[in-house]
Parts: sequence; structure tokens; C-alpha cells
Amino acid sequence: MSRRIIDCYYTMNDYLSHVRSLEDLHDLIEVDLTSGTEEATKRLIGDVKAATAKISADAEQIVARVHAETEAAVVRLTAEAERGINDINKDAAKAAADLVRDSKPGGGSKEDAVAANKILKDAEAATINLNKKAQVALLALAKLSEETVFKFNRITESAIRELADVEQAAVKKVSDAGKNAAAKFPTTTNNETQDNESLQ
Amino acid sequence: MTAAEVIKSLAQAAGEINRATALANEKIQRASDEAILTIKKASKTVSIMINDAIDAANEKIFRTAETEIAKAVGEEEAEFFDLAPLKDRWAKRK
Repeated sequence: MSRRIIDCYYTMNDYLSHVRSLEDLHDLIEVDLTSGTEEATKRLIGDVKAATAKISADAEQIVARVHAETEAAVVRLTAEAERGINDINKDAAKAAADLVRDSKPGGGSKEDAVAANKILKDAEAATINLNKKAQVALLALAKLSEETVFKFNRITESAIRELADVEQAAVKKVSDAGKNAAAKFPTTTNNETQDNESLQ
Repeated sequence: MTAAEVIKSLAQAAGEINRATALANEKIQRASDEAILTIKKASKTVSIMINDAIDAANEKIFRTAETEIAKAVGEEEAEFFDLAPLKDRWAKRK
């Protein structure tokens, strides 16, 4: 099993562990129909709340991870761009200095100085250009990160809303069934309990 | 009989909640994978963009130095200038 599948499997069980086993609820209803139904309904609501809280906590972790990944990438890429700029400046300065020093015996001419200056100016322009490109690219990355987080949060909110809708429908179903049963057989459970007590 | 009806409803409700929880989890898992992948891909793209910009700058400096040195000292003399480190930095990155 791949790591991802294992993670998914555990995550899934983790979420479902918040939803109580049917057996627990079954016992409640068998003991007393009215209060049992009420208690089972309360527990269903509590279970969904717990599952929702877990989903929200996990979603927050994902958002934190997206931010961390972006920040790490920005730090790494900024350092890379700075290194590139430093290298360019160093190389240009060396080429210009070599030109002035080595071109003519006894020192550089005016042409050498102009040529050296041109190298340095071009290096400056190149590094400014590089800096701009890096800034634009990094800003785009940061913007994309925010958009990704926004989209992810929307999906999470929608999933939680859908879960809440199912919870409401489920609770209504159990509650209605309890009410119907109580209306059809208003004294069944009490009588049964009393009969059982009398027999004992 | 009445308890059985309520329990049946309860079983259905619990089943629906289980399915909805699993579905919500699946959706979030998918969205989470997609979000992380998007950032990783974008980081890679930005890295390529920055490296391309560094390459372009290195190439520009190499070309300028080559041209200006040749102009200043002449083609023959220019050969004595060591531009290999400049050229290497650009060529190696490529």
C-alpha cells in the first residue's frame, strides 16, 4: 500500500471514528423509545460536530502547509536570484578591472575605461532586470498561493455545509420516526417496562 | 415493533452520516492534494523563470565583456583576456 493510500485510510477511519457505532444507539432506543430516540439524535448531532471539527482542524493544517510551502519556495528562490545577481556583479567587475589593468602596459587608456564602464553599466541593467523578473515571479507565486488557499477553503466550507445538511435530514428522520412511533403506540414502552418490572 | 422502526431509521441516518462524512473527507483530501500540487508546480515554474533570467543576464554580461574588450584592445589581444569564468557560468547553467 502506498504511503498516500495508507494516509487516506487512516484519515478516513479517523473521521469515521467520530461517528458512533449503531450498536450504541440501538441499545439506547431498546431501553426506552422516547428518551432513547432523543439521546440517539443528540449523539448523532454530537458525532457530526466532532467530525466537522476534525475536518476543520485538518483543513487548517493544509492551509498552513500551503503557506509554508510557498514561503519556503520564496525564500529559496530569492536566495537563488540574489546569488545570481552577486555573481553577475562580481564577474562584470572582474572583467572591467582586468580590461583596465591588462590592456595596455602602464595603465588603461580612455577607450579601455569606456569599455569597462560599458561592461559595468550592462551588468547593472542586467541585474536590475533580473531583480524585476524575480520579484514579478515571486509575487505571482504568492498570489497563486492565496488563490489556492481561498479555493481550498471554499471546498472545505462547501463539504462541511453538505455534511450539515445530511446531519439535519438524518436527525429529522430519526426524530420523525420516534414521534410516529410514540403517536402510534403512546404507552407501549412504558407499559412494557412496567410489565417487565411486575413480572420480575 | 416501534423500537424496530426507530432503529431502522436510525440505521439509515447513521449510514447517511457515515457516507456524507466519508464524502466530505474525500473532497477535502482531493482539494488538499490539488492545492499542494499547484504550489509545487508554481514553485517549479518560478524557479525556471528566475534561472532563465539569471542565464539571460549572464549571457548578456559575457557578450558585452567579449565585445567591449575586443573593441578596446582588438580581436587578437582580446584572446589573452580570460573570459572563461564568465562563459562557464552561463554555459554551465544552460
